Amino acid sequence: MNIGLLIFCGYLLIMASIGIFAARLQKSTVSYWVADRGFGVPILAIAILVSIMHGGSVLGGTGAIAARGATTLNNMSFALGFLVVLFFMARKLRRFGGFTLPDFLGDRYESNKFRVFAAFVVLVSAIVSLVAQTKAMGVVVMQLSGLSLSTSLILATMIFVFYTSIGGMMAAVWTDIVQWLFMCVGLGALVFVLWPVVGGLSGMAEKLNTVAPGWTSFKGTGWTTMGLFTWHLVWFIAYFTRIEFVTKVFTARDEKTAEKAVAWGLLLVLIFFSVTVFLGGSARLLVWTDLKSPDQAFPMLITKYLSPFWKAMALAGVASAAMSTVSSLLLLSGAAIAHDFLRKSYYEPRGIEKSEAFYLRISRITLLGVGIIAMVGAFFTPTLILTIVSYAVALTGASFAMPILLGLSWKRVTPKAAYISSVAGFIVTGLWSFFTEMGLAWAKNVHPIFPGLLVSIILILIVSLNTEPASKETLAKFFPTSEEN
Amino acid sequence: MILNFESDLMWFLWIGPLCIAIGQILYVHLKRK
Repeated sequence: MNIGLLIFCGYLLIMASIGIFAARLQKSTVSYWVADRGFGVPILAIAILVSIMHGGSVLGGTGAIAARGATTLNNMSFALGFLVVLFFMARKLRRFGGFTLPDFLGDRYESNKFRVFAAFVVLVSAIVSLVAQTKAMGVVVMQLSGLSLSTSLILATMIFVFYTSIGGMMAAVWTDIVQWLFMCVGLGALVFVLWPVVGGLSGMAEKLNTVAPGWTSFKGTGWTTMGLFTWHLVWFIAYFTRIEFVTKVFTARDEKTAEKAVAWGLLLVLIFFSVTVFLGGSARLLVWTDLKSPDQAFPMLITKYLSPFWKAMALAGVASAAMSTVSSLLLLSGAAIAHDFLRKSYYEPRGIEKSEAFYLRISRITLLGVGIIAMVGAFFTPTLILTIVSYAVALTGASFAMPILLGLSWKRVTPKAAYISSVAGFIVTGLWSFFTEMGLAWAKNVHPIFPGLLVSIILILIVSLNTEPASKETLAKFFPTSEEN
Repeated sequence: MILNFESDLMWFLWIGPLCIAIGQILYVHLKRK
């Protein structure tokens, strides 16, 4: 048995055990969807980091940075995105105390129609990302275990669907912690080995200044000023509307914990993502000429510089990054169906009473179903999938940014305005993505999120000023009198 | 030049974001309530 397969088997065993343990603690849907709201700052900060840092951020990130320079890394977008979440969203969303973003939008704007629409957007976006990430995870597990792609895909999907569906959010976050440890060891080993080879960060930069002029500059290599600005702006918007990040605040012990976790989460994100600058630079120096595509930068580095054991550990680290993100996405898709659609939009409005045990069972079955869809989808993933994922991120950004941000900070936003702006943002971004894919030149020049967001901003302002705000009771819930805004 | 990276990149990539991160941490720990 090769060492990679051995490590993979050990890894699967640990994940399955955590799932079984967490499953025994599931008493209600509060346990299942938000882990009894029991997480403290360290656990939550790590959970935020690993749900954001997916397999692609290590593999694709290393390649993209190697190709286009250190300036490609989105540290500033993360910092500003987290700033928005901290100051405008974390405390208020946690105080609201729902399970999902559609929960918040439905309650804040007193509209079941909006809840259903929001759940639909979450579902579309989460499932598209889930399919893409499942495929990416399958490829890494294949490299790790030495098994075929289909066996790797089936095994890896079975395990994350197993632990997430039986143990819910608790299992997803506890496995996140173990997966984070794998990432630390795997990536740490690679940095440790490469550090003396390239002469540390400053030695690497010095060599790069001759090998790839511009790599260590603000403008990078091959970026236009507009291109670089748009790249960082898109990710800024994407990060404060990133559902797998924002919904984590619902699991915090209290409002203060939610805020602290976001603040510490940013520090972790900056540290961990910065590793990709070192890896990208090292790849540019050491293996660039051997590569057929930038995506091979990371695999080539570990193949060339690590022993079989440490290579397997590094791959286990990337597989962990991938798996922690897919479990978050699976939970989001499941919650959209089982909680937002079935419970909040079908059973409860019709006065049909169901027990917590029933909802728990439905939730588990839903996650299992979505997991199977993700696996089947991953087998038939079109090559276009990464582009589709970026459109999915743009769709959630354009649909949710204004209704959430303004809904939490401005009493005057009206239910009609929020709904109309959200739907319009979705449609415009969707159409713009379609036109871009059709190859229309005027559409290609602007990222789909911008026209969508612009229409959403204009509509939410104009319609708000001409329609009735939410009821006093609702506003009192979201804007207690002790608060100034 | 800082660590052989151009200064404006260092500010954009690390110093600026780190200042924001540390500022956030100080803010949430030091504010009342």
